[in-house]
Amino acid sequence: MQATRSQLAHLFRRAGFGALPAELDRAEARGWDATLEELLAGLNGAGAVPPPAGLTSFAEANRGRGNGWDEYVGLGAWWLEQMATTRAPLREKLVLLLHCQFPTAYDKVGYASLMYRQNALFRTLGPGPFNVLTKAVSQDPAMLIWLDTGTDEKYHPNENFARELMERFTMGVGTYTEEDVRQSARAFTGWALDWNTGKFRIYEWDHDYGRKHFLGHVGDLSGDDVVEIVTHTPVSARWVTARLWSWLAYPVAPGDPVVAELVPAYSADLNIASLLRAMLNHPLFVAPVSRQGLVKQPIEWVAGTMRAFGLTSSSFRKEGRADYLHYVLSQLGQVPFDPPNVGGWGDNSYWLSTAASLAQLDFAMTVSQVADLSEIHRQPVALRAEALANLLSIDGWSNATLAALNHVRHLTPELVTLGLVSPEYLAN
Amino acid sequence: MPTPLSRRRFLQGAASLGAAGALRGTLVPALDAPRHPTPGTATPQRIRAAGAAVEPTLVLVTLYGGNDGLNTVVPYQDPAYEAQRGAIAVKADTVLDIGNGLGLHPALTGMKSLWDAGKLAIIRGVGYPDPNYSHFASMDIWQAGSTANDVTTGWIGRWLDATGADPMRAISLGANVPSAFAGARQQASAIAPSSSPYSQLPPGDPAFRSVYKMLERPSHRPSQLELLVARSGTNMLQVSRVVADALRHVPAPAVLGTSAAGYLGQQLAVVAQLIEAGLPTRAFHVSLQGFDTHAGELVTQAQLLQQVDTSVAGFLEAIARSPRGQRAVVVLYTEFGRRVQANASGGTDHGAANDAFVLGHSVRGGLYGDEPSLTRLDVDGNLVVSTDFRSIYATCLEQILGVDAKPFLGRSWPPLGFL
Repeated sequence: MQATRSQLAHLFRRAGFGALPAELDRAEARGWDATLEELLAGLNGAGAVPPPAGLTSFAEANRGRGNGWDEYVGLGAWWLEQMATTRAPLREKLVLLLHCQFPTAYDKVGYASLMYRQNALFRTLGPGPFNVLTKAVSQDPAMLIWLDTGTDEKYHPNENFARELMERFTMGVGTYTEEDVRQSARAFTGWALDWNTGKFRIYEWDHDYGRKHFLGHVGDLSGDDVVEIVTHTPVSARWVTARLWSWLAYPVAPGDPVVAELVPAYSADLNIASLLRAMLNHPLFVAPVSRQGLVKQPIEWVAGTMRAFGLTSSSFRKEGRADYLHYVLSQLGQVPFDPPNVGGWGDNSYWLSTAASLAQLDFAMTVSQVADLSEIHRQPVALRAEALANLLSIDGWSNATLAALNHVRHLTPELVTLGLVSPEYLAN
Repeated sequence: MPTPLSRRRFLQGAASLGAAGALRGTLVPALDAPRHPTPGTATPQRIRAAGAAVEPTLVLVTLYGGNDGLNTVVPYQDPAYEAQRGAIAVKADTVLDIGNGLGLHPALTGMKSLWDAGKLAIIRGVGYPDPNYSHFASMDIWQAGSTANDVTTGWIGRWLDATGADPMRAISLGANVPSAFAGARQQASAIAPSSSPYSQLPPGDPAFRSVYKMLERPSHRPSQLELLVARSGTNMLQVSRVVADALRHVPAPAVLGTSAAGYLGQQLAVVAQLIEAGLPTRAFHVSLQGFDTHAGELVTQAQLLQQVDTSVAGFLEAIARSPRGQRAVVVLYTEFGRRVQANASGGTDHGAANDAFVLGHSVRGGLYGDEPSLTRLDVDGNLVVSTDFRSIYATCLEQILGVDAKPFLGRSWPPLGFL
C-alpha cells in the first residue's frame, strides 16, 4: 500500500503512542507494509518487563511489609514509562487495550504485585489466542480477588465472575440467558486464590462436578470448558473484534458491517495478532471516519506526550510531587489500574468535560515547564508551530489553532501548552 | 459551616458588581446562548430575588454497583427475610425502626433523624419491566430514563437540550459526566470534587487564558469530536471562574470533610457551597461506587451506608438555613436491587426491584409505592417491581425543574407525592 506521511502518523498514533519525527522519516522511507510488519513483529518481543524496583511480593505484603498505595501509584508511573519508551509500541498499546477489556482495579485487589502480574500476563499472552489469554485471566490472582471467585461453595455459587466473563470479557450483553449464568457459575465453584502461595488452585471438595447445560453444551463442564465454549462462539468473535476496532479506529457495535469483514481474520484460531494485522490494513482504518473517529484516552494522551518530549515519571518530580502523574490522570478520569468498575471506561465524549479541560491545561502547562523545549525553541519563530506539530505526530494545525499559536509564537512554553490542549491533538 | 452572613455578602456582591464583576460568568449568557434568558439561566433579577422565591435544585446521587435495598430498609419482622438472608440478615435488634415492620440499616442514624422529621421519602419496589441484570445495561436504562435500546441521551440531558446552552445549568462532580447528564447537543459541566478554589481555576494569567479561549473556539472545527473538545474548553473558562468565586465566599461544611463522610462527602461539600452561593445550577450529580456486594456484604455495605448517611445528613444540615437549601432535593438511586436469597460468599447476586430515597427540607417524608413481597418473587428469585422509576423522574422534572415531564420521558408517568 502506498502511504502518505499523514497516514503513517495515524498508524503510529493508534497502533502506539505517536511517532518521533525520526521514526516517521524512517517509516516514510520504508513504506506502509514494512512499517506495519515491524509493529506487528514487536508483539512477539521479549515477554515480560521487569517490575519497578521495590515491589513487595504477595507473601511479604501478607506479613505487613511494603506500602501498597505508594507501590500502586509507582506501578502506574512505571507503566506510563513503558508506553513512553517502548520499542514495541503496538504491544504496549495492546496491553492498555486488554486492561480496558479486562478492567481490574487495585482498590479491591489490594496487592500492587498482583496488578503487576496481571499486566505481565497481558504483555506475554495478549497477542496470542484469545481463549488461552481468557483462561489465564480467569485464573489470574488479581481477577480472582476482583470478581470474588473462590468465595463461594458448591451449592450456592456466586454469579459475579460467570456473568462478567460473558457480558464484558467475551460475548456482550444479551447473548446468553440467566440460566447460562447460573450453570456456568457452577463450573467455577472451587476455583480460588490460595492465600498461602498467592497462586490459583481448584479446591476439589468445593467444585460442582455435576451435569451442566450451558449454551447448548451438556456435561460435567469445568471452568476451562466454559472459557473454551464462550470464546469460540460466533458472538464472541464479533464482540472482541468490535471492542478492539472501537479503540483503534472508531466506535462500532458488534453488528457493524466492518466487524463482519474483520471476523474471518480472527475466528480461525482466535489469534489477536492476526486480527490486529487485518484491522490496521483495513481500508477504513485510514478513512476519515477513523481519522476523526476517536478522542485520545487520557492515558494515551499523557503517555504520548511523555514519549514526544522524552519525559519519565521522575521528570515531574520537579513539580514538587512524586505522584503528579497519578494526580493529573485522576483529574482526567483515567488512572492506570483503577477502572471505575468491571465495565471499564467509556469513549470519546466520556473523556470530554469542563473538569477534564482544566486538568488538560494543568498537565500541558506542567509539561511545558519540565520538558526540554530546545528543539522547538531553536527553530526560527515562524517555524516553531510546525516543529511542534511534527513532534506531536499530527498533520499540522487548523487555521483556528494556528491563529492562537501565532499569538504566542515568541513564547515557546506557551506555544507548547496550547499545542498540547489543541482539539486536533486531544482528538484524533 | 456556611453562615447566613457569608452567603448574603456573596449575593450582594454578585448583584452590585453586575456583569463587570467577579461573577461575570454567571451573569452573562454563554457565548452561544440565546439572547433571552432560558429557565435556569441566572439573571441579576433572579439572583436578587433568590431570597424570596428560589427555584428548587435537584441533587442526584448515583450509587454504582447495585445497593442491597433489602439490607437498607429491612423488613425485619417478616420471617421470610431472615430465612432467605441467613448469615447476612441485618439483626432485628439493631435496625432503626420506621414502622410498618421496617427498620433502617443501623448505620443510617442521620437518615433516621430525617425520617423522624418527615424529610425522608422511601420509594418501594422501584424498577422497570423485564429487569436487566447487567450493571451497565441496567444503569444505562436508569440514566436514559428509557428501556428502549436506541435512546442514548440522558433524562437530564434532554432537559439540557431543551433549555439553551448555559453551562451552569447542570454540574457533575468528577471528570466523567454520567450519561444521565448528557443530551444530544448539550452536556452538563463537570468540576473537581474539591472545595479549594485554587484547584478549580486554570493555571496561567488572563492574557494566556484569552489565547486559550481563542484556541478553543468551537467554530471552524472540522470534526464533531474536535468541536466537542473546543466547547469543553470554552465552557471550562466560564465554569471554573464562577465555581472558584463561589467556593471563596462560602466555607466548606466541616462535617463533610471528615473521613466518615468520605468521597461522597467531598462532593456534597462542593454542592452545598455552590447552592449556598446562589449559583443558578438546577441539577447536580454526585456518585459513590462499590455497592456490588457479591461477597462479604455485611462489612462492605455497612461502610458504604455509613458514608452515605454521614454525607447526606451533613449536606442537608449544611444547607438548612438558606431558602435555596430549603428547596434542594436529594435523590438516591442505584441500578438494581439484589437477589433475595443470599449466595454462599456472604453476599448477594444481581436482582431487580429496589428502594429509592428522596430527602430534603421540602420533601414530604414517608413510604411510597407498594411493599414488595418476600415470598411472591419473579422467576429469577427477585423482588417484583411495583413502582416504575420514571414516576420518580416525572415528579422531579415537574416539581423541581418546573417542566412538563412528558416530552422528556416519552409518555406520562403517574407522579409520586413526595414533593
